[in-house]
Amino acid sequence: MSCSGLQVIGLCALLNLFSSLSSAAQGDALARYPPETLRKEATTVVLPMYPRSMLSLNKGGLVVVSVIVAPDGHVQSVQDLDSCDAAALDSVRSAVSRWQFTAIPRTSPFRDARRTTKLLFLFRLTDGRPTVVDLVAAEIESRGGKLTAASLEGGH
Amino acid sequence: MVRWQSVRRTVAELALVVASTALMVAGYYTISALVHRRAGVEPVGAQRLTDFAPISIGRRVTLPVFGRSPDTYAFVLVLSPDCPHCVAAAPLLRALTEQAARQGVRIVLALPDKAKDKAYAATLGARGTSTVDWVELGLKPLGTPMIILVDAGGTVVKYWLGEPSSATQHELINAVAHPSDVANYPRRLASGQPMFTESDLRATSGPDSITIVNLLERPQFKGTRYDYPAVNIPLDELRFRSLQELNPAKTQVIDCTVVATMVCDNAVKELRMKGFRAVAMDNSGSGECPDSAKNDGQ
Repeated sequence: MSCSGLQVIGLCALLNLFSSLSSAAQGDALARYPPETLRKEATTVVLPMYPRSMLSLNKGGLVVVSVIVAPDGHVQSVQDLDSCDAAALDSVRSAVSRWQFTAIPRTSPFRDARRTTKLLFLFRLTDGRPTVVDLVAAEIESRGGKLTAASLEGGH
Repeated sequence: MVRWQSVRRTVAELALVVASTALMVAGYYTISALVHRRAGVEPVGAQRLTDFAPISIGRRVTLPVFGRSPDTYAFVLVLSPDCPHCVAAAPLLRALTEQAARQGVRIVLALPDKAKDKAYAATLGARGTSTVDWVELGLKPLGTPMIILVDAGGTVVKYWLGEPSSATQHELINAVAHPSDVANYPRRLASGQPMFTESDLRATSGPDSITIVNLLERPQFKGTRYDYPAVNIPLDELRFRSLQELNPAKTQVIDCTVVATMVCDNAVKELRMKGFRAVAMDNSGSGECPDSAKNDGQ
């Protein structure tokens, strides 16, 4: 083996080490946001569908999820915190995973940070009509705040 | 000969690749451990603070029994090197330590890692008759600095959380001088209103007319029970869920035993702003339930 071959392998090892160190240091950068703050940054919002199984049982309830948003604004994971019904949770997961948020500018010192917050959805039957309420958006609007994106009905 | 050299070269390359990979993995885990430690996250397998119930009045910390008599009290100073308010509270901590030494009252220092952080506590002027790790308390501190008054059996009589105001400092110095007088001292909201105790509630309200609102996160709430209808709404969800889930015909009683006074004050304000009758309760008398039965407050 030539000397330059050894140097290349050594250099690769060092690069690997530095990349692993940097990913270890950045992997845990998770910024917790108040629900209203991150909800206002949503650019694409899809509301969950009211599950047929719940409709047939005349059932309503609350689903609370914790969402992790990648630096580029796409939803990385949706975690169940509290759910009234498995079908409702599936519906929320499916809809929220299609949401988009504003990306963190590349010039920001926090450009690699993931963001997390809670989202709350109320499945409600009003006079027999099924409604899914995005409680965080409803609260923002009730206080006169503005949302970036209008909610799209039906997530499927 | 040439073939033998080629084999040796391949073996040497493989050895280098294995060594570099081992170095990379070791580096990753070392840095991960450092990052986790810096973030206050315990490594997997260790006893975690999140496993414990939060400190609240009436619960017991697992400290050695101090008691030669029921009048023996101790103050637990919960501090952390990452806490800027602890530095701000240094003059008070020093004064408390000196006052306790004069009065013969025990001071227990509770630190994230007593072996490493004891020197830090000394720089603040906080000296204890004994020092324990946070996890040894058996309950989770609500924040730092936290000063806890416990009786001879380790039961939490009262606690003070956060950077103390001048009024709180005065109260704490008095508490060290006369700890037995503190037991029945009512906590007050920032607005000056005294908080209810469970006995006040019992005297004035029937179980049908109130709902207790517990503001803890779900895992921390698990296992908490009340003698009254209760609902768990984590603090950051209160403004979204209150109108949907709380009955406006009932009085909403915020359990302030488990949260700081300022947090409790905000929760009471939030509910009143939404048109609810809301009061604060300091001593819930809540206890541990073997199964995680959730009370329904409606």
